[in-house]
Amino acid sequence: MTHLCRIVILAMLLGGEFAWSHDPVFGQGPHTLFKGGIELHAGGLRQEAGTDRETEFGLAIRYGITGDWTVGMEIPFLDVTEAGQSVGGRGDFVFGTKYRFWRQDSLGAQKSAALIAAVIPGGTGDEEIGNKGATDVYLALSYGYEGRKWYRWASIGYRATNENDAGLDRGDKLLIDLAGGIRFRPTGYLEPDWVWMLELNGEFIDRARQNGAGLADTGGNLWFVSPGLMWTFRNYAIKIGVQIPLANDLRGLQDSVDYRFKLEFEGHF
Amino acid sequence: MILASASMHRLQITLFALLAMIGAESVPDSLQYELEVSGMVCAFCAYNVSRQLQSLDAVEPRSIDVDLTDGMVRLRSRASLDEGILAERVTAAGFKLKSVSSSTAVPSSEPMRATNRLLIRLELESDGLDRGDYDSLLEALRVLSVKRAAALRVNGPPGSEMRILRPILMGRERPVDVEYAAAPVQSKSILIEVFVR
Repeated sequence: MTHLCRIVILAMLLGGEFAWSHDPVFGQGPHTLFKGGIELHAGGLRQEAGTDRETEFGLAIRYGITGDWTVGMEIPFLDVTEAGQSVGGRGDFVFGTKYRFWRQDSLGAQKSAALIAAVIPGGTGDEEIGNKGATDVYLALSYGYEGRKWYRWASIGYRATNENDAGLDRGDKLLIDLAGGIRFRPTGYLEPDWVWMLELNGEFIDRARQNGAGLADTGGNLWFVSPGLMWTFRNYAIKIGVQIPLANDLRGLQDSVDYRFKLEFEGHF
Repeated sequence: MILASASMHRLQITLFALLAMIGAESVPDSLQYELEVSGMVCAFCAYNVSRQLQSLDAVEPRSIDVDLTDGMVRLRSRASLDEGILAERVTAAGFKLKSVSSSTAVPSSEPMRATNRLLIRLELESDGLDRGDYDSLLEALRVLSVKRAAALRVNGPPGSEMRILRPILMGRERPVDVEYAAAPVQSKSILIEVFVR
């Protein structure tokens, strides 16, 4: 496996962590889709860390099996530049589901909790990009309160990895997210709707391994504070946010993340 | 528009009145439902509920009105709706149906505000209408309405319906729901509201 391919596989920021409308920009939330509904989603993420650049773009389609259970798939595309070298292409498919197992509805408010699961079978992407021979699994638990004025979310997720055909295991990842949101002016049914959000995102990444031996300069912990905005109009939504590094503890010699920027479009039909 | 003769004038008014009646939304006897729905927070939620209820055959899709402030969904149906099915549809949307009430809907030409939004609201003095002060304003409303208006609601002096509606609706390219409510005789004001989809 080339060094560049290894970089790409170690990157992969988006895959597996399904993003949904009326959930935080970066964290997970419990929102699902109405029964029989179809969601089309396009999103992009840009990360810069020193001279390294990474751009991810994802297309997703989801279906509401019931009002509390959604399934879908996502196709990611990546472009990674490190140390002057670039590689890009289509990443491995992501197949996911979200099941909202608890819901408490009241006038103008909803509390709920959901389980999220995703499988990323390696080798379904372009050869230079895909993680052939390894299948990642992602599990998360999320809680959310949505009100006419206030929002709050909490989630914890874990992505388990394993060794691919080239002997590379990118390292498991634990994600912890807290988010709050406010709608300054409660809106009516036919009005554009603005929810401003602020998130605290934590990532705890194991050291990557090559044929069982730990790789230096991989893994570590990162914390971000992330302002964001969710704009919706009827059945369309746009989400935008930026992750600003708060603290990090990266192993070995790694460039700290300067920022991550995310933009998403979504439509429910 | 210059009228050729008094008889042509009367014919045009008659035709206009006929067209206005045809264009107005005339609803046969139907049932009005009010659903109290818990959990709706935003327009996205409202859309979900609206989509689920629209799929019921008897429901008039354009009548569905979601009020997020009181959690009420109001709709008209051509037939009686089973409460269990309504609850099922609200659940499928991701929310909870708390209560349902129904009544016989009054046949009405009321504009379908559920899917329309207010574009412009004008309040005029009726004395100015008689003097012709608003002719150019009504012409401007006509230009605005001819392609975009979905509904028109006017509250004005008794007997002024044609005087106000004709300039606005002449030449319109699509049906417009029209409601004219006669204000009290002593009222000096005219309220004109134009709604678009």
